[in-house]
Amino acid sequence: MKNKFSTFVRITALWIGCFGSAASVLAEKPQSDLFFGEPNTTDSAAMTAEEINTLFQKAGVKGGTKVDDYTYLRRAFLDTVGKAPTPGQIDAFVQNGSKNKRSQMAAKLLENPEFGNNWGRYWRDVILARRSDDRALGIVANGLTTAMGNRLNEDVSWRQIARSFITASGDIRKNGETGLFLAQKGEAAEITSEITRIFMGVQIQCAQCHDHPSEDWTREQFHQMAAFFPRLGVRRVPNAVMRSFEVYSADGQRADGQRADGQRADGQKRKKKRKTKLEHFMPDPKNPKARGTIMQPVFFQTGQSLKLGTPDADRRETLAEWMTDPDANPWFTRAYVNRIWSELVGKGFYEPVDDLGEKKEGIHTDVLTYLSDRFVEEGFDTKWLFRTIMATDIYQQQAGSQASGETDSIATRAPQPLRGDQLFSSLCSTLQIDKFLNKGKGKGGKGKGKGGKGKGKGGKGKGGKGKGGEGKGDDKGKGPAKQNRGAVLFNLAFFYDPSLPRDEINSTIPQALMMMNSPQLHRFISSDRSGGMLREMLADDADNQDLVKQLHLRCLSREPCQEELEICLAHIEQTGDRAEACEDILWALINSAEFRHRK
Amino acid sequence: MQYHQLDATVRSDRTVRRRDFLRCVPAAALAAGSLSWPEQMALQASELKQDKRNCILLWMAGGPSQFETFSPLAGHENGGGTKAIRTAVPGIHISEHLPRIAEKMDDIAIIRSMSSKEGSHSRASSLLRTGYLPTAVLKYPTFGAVAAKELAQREDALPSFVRIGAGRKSGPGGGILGTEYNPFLHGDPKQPPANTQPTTGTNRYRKRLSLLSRLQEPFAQTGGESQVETHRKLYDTASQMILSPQMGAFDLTQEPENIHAAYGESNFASGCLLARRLIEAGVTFVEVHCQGWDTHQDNFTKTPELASQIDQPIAQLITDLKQRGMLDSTLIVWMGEFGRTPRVNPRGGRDHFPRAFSAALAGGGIRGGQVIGKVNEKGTEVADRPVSVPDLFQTYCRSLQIDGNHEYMSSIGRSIKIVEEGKPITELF
Repeated sequence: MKNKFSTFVRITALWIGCFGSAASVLAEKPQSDLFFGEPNTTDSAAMTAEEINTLFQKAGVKGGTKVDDYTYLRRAFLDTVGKAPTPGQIDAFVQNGSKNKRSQMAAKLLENPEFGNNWGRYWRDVILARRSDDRALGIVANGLTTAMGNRLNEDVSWRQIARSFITASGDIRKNGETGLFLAQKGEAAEITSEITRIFMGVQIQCAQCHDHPSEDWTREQFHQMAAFFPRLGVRRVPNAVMRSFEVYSADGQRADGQRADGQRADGQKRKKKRKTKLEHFMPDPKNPKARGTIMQPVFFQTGQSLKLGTPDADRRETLAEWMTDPDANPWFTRAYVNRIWSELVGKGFYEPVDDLGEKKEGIHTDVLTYLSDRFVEEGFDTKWLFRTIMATDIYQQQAGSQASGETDSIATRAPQPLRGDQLFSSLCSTLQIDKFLNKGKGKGGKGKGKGGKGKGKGGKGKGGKGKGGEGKGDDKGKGPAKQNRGAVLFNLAFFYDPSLPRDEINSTIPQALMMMNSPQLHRFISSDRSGGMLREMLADDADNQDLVKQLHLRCLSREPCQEELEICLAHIEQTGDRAEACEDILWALINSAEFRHRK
Repeated sequence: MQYHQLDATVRSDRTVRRRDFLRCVPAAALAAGSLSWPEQMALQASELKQDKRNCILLWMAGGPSQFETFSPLAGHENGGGTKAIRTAVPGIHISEHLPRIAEKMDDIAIIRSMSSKEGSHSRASSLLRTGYLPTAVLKYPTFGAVAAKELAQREDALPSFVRIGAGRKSGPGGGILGTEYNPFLHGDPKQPPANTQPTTGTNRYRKRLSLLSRLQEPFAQTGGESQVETHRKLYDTASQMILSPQMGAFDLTQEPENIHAAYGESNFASGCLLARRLIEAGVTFVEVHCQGWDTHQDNFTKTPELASQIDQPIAQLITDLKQRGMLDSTLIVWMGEFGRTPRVNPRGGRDHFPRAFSAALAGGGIRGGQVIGKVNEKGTEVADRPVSVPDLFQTYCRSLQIDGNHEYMSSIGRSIKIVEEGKPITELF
């Protein structure tokens, strides 16, 4: 009964959503909570997934073959905690007979703190990939990862997360969410481009110099948007022990660039004073040296505006409010849902994921609209969104299994390359490098559990001004998760901009060389290493067949097929030396295309 | 071998352009009409190879002081007491710290009127190496990547763009041209490049490659066909590269003792020698970095010390390339991200100064023995013939025979020119 009724509510919501009515109150979660008591979020995700399956079926998208448990598990692990499962985890999962084991596993993985760490690194890459100031990399990369990761782990709603990034201030080493501003050096135009691109998936920056060629935005609108940020400044923190910067509001400055207290604004001993303008000016292309036209802050999507003279904090608070308001601006929600869908399923409703808009051509946008509306109703709950997408047929479909030849269809899954940190984490777990990394370092297991913040889910839900369940200042005590040197080197070698379409991501020669010949990796492949993975495996297993099977489970999270088994056994036979042969097999498996992809 | 070679099958080459082959055909041979068609073709191919332009960028990271290098201000207090010395070309004087380079002045053109507005290291480095200020909108390719794309020949075994001694903050790469145009990073020129030697013997390495190839099949047959194909090409190219005899170009021990002595001892000297070997082996663009020019303190100890590290190797690089007949086809560029303040600060240092600074060029068809532009007597302003960063890039293009107006397309459909605006410094040709 309960299920039927709530399905009715959902479907009603869908229809109401489709007709664009604002009267979707019926479907709002607080309402349904009144009816049913404790909401069963897993169910609501499952039902939404079911509805999405139906929508695709109606649109004539044929589902392909469902993946087996091995593939599902590796996919789910990489998509949530960012690394491949261990043989023990695989065995347990495959042998589990529960009907709901996939959704249970997804839910469990999302509660693992590695979920936030993994996606914190993803957003670090998104935000820093297009930095216009390299200093951001060294100073804020870790803090940014932690700031995003903690919020995701602590169920801060996506709306609240976006707000906290748009309104961030203070010392960059302490408040990682200021990273975007340092990455763009506090420049209003660059910040505008990045905030709209990252949080709305809209590329308004083309309108910076000329009216947008394919959308309706004008130069004026771009500069009105930039007018939300002229008072934001980035400056050195004076006398900091470790070199740092801070994001500050320049409201107190006089128009000539000097602060009222007579101190130099940029904290640097420069003769020329930095002029942080109090308002934004649109330059005159015919006369670039002139000051240009003073611009009032106007949000291009809705036309809402602020008065000149509004202080920085109010400008950014208000913009954050308007921009993330799902009723006024659907693109905020759609951009996030589309991006996560694209990451998980392999193909978004819009591609690239940061180029959406009224005039852009998407596919199955009705599904995106539906899922986005549901996401809003669920209070911008990121983990709910993951659970939902991971429960859909399309997520669980086998790569390349689309038989109908629709190569362009959203249902055609292609294996995706792992990001540098996913690859590194997978190598660490496959070769049991973790064991060695944490050894002898007092820092190893430093309080990575859930920070008992006692915030609960109160900050969720739609609308509501103010900072609700905001997690500001949270990161201070914890200190950024410092990455080890190996991870840093890997990221340098394997980094790519996650917003790029996947077919533009190319592997490089140095990457191949690193995987093949890195002396560091070699040490972990070697069977000589005491306590090493292969050495222990060789000591445990007498049977060659079992060895080959274990190696495949470790590296590819699946058992070998007959052909692979034969190739490997023949190699052991030919080589004579079993340890040497197994080193070769291990080397070949971690160097394979399959290891570097998520099927 | 080229990084981009394997890319051609992965995506349709957005920026592909037919090179203007005719440009390279010897006019006399064509005019004479005396050659058969196959002969003409053969000649054309060899001429192409010979005529291929290359570039060595000597990058002075941190911003070198113009006053202690190519633009001394002897007699003015801003000169800081650095003496000017005569060079091989009457009338041209450079700093006392570059005596050997002074002897090569016939081949060198100095630009004393470089000017930009960017005074932060990372942004100015991007500007001087991509020709554009960095933006969030798109990543501009560095000039080495452009040269690799426009000039490199696909059959070469070595990477077409190598960056030596750059450290971790290595600077801009392929940008919108793609990661395959990123420089091949090489830290210490005295060692083999990282990860280029199999961790096992060559025979076992080959066996492993063969095992890998056979184990890829099942994935290829279950949805990973194109991934396996791309991966296979990448691994083929990478393994062929490190097994190729041309990798010997990286091995400085193959150079005789007298050549080592002629270049000198410093790491930068080894970098210069390696650059020559790499260009000889077919690499198109080599960057050699020299760190430490950010002399906010003790400029008058540090800069002379740095100058002494670069003086002999640069002079020898010019000599060496000339002796081998490679100077005309190889442009050498000496520069940093900006210059340093005319005023000496209380700590005996000079601070960032983009308004008027120096660069130097040699080879690549540049007419040496001349100075472009000048600064006022205090060194505070460009007094004559200002040269902008785009002007400098247009000059590179002219020297390397690249069309600076050629446009590349970004993934969101925005096109950028190799160089936006600017004019080549025609006096140099």
